[in-house]
Amino acid sequence: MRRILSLLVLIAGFITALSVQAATLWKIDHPRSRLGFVATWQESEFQGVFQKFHAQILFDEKNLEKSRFEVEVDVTSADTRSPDRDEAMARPEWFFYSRFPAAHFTTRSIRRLENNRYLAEGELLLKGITHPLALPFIWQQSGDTARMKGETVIQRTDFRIGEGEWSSGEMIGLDVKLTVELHLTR
Amino acid sequence: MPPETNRESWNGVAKGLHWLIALLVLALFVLGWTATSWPLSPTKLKLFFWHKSLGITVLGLVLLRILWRVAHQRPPLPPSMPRWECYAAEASHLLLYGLLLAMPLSGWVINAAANFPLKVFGLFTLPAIVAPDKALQSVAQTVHLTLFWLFASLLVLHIGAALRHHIVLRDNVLRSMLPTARRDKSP
Repeated sequence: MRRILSLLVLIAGFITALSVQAATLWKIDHPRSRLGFVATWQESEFQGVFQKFHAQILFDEKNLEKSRFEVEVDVTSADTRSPDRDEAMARPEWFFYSRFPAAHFTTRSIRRLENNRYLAEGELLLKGITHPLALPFIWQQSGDTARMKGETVIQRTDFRIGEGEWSSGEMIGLDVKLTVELHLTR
Repeated sequence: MPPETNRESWNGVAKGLHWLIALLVLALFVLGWTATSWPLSPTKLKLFFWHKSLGITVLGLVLLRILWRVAHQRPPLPPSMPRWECYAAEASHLLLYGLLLAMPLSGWVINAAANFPLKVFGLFTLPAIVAPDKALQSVAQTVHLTLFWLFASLLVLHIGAALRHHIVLRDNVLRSMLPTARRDKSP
């Protein structure tokens, strides 16, 4: 009985070791990492950051098959350094913080474009609406540290961010650029 | 009939600036008041957009007006005016110029402290006059509103005094600033 148990533990250990080998799990250095966005207000750009987010970054340039990002963003942690604007973002016609406090991004596939440039394709769940999202990014790795940097543009109305009168994009632009810069260690 | 009816009036540039600024200030009062009470919507932002754009325009025009005023002689006040009235007129006009500068400047501070961009008429972006700062924003808002009330009271005095000169004293003070004024006689 004891022998069988230790065998099971050994097998479990092997499986764990194998899966870890399949794609490296990276740890985010949060103080140095940044998940932000750039939007336009009366044709002028303004920036914001999501101060709280968690992500499971499984990445191995030699094993893109098993590489995967899973990101959970605390939408309510958005900060545009403008209390008036940040307050407005909480409203139902914008992000509706009370009902949809979190956003999720999960990749379906990651492929190499050229050199250290990659494309992550997946789904973004925001304000209860799921839409495909393609995120081109650069992966720079040296030893046990890596830097991941990418940006993509989404249409805020795809996710009903800015409903009703706001959906025309006249005062607040429809295109929103998402920017991500992660510093990682393994 | 007062003897000072045959006086020079203000020159065309001074008159043009005076009435243009007067018109803009009236528009600014209406826009500012409407914008602050309007519920949050694109319309509210649009009202603020016009308020800010016109406010910056006034700032520019007032600077021009002051330069012009410094470089040119103003028509003399009626000799019949008591000395204290001349001083009061001088002081209230200085204060008006000061407020015409302080109103847009305090508005600019609010906008920058609130970290809102300022693209005048959608044409060019003005730099932020201060760094984003919630506390400073509320101070500037209080200043802007207080100055508004001071300005409004002073305008009542300004318009009242002009009408008094015209209707009661029957001198040329108001007429010297009217667009059509010549060296004509009072009726």
